[in-house]
Amino acid sequence: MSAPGTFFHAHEEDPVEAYQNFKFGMWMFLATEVLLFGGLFAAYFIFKYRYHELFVKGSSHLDWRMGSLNTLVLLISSYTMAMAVDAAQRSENQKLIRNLLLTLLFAATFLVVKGFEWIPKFNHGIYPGTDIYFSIYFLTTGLHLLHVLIGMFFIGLLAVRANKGRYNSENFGGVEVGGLYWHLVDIIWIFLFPLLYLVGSV
Amino acid sequence: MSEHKMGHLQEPSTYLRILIYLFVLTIVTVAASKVHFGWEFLNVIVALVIAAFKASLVIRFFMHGKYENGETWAFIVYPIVLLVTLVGFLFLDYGFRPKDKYVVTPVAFDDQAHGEHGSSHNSTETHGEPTNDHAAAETPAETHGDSSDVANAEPAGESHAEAPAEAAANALPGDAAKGLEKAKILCIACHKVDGAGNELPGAPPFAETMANPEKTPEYLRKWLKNPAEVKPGTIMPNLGLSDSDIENLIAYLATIKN
Repeated sequence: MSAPGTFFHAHEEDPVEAYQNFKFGMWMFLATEVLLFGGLFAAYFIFKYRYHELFVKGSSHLDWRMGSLNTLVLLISSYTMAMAVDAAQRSENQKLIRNLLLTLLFAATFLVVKGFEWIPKFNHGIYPGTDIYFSIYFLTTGLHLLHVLIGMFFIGLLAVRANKGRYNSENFGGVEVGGLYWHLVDIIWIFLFPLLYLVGSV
Repeated sequence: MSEHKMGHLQEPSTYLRILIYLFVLTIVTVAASKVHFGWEFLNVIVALVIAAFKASLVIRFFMHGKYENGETWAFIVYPIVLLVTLVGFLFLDYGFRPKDKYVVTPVAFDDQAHGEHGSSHNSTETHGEPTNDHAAAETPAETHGDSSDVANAEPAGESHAEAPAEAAANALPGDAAKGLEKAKILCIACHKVDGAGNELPGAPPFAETMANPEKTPEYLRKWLKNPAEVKPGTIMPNLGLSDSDIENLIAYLATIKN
């Protein structure tokens, strides 16, 4: 477990314990992430009912088909990430690398679709400061986008390390913890998608 | 840790099955959002319940949550409990509050205004009923216009006497240019100033306000000093303006009128 270059090399720690602590640390971090986005969800609900007309007007600029497409793309990326962890657990290195790269590809697809949504808005003069709806829209989707970019960085790192033969059935904690982060990015979107694209005007 | 040293293996077909469930639930979410339930909040609640179920599938199967121990589950559950509490109370507050409690209620204020004039022609009437303002606020018959058109709603049409005191009260000693600069900083958050800024509901365009003959400099002076005193429950905040700021802003607003 404690291969050089991991978080654990400085300690004389039991590999199984190290693996469990690594995962537990990530779960704790994810709890703070949920609360970070939770504050924004609360803001969404406050402004949604306070400035309802702006939400009706603002959400009419969103295309639910784009949102649905991106939902499916992220769900598939979560699946490929889960398959990557599974491959690492089975010491199937080629399959691990292939699934990590597929996850990266779907993450990039998400970014491209997001670009097709954001750029026409900017061209129409719709920015984060346009009104309170678009402040919430750009803040929530923008913060989510930042998480996608951070997730892509770590998945890329995992792919590079997998290519060096780092991971196997005795040492896959890194892949699993990266996967936990990526699945959270998916979960956040699972909530953002209906709230912004489907019931924004309700 | 039970029998396995690290982690747990699931059948790879499980992941594919979960992905298919998630796809189906996405379609269900979209379909449910197109249905018009009788109660508007039901659409939001249905969307949230389906999202929560999708999230639980991701946590239990993709994230191997079903194999995690109690300590880990404590960290899964506690942020969710906090979040449900927070959003749940917001729903109670905004969802079930009568609409007229957060849409600005028009309030008659002219009794008070005449009281401050110090003119004697209706002083007995005014001073005889110190609570008249509040009574008017609560009596639907006393309010004017429709509730969304706040700007034009409040002063009852008492005619404006051509008294010298009133002429002095309506003078414009301020600097319109400085007023415009101030408006670009302060008012722009809710009103359009010089074509820029937001236009929030309940914040009427300045041109509309100034077209109303009731909005005299004297009225605006009281209004900008403390909006809530003029119209209890108004959305317009007390901006804590100095007297000179107020004069400058009124001078600027007067230029819109012309």
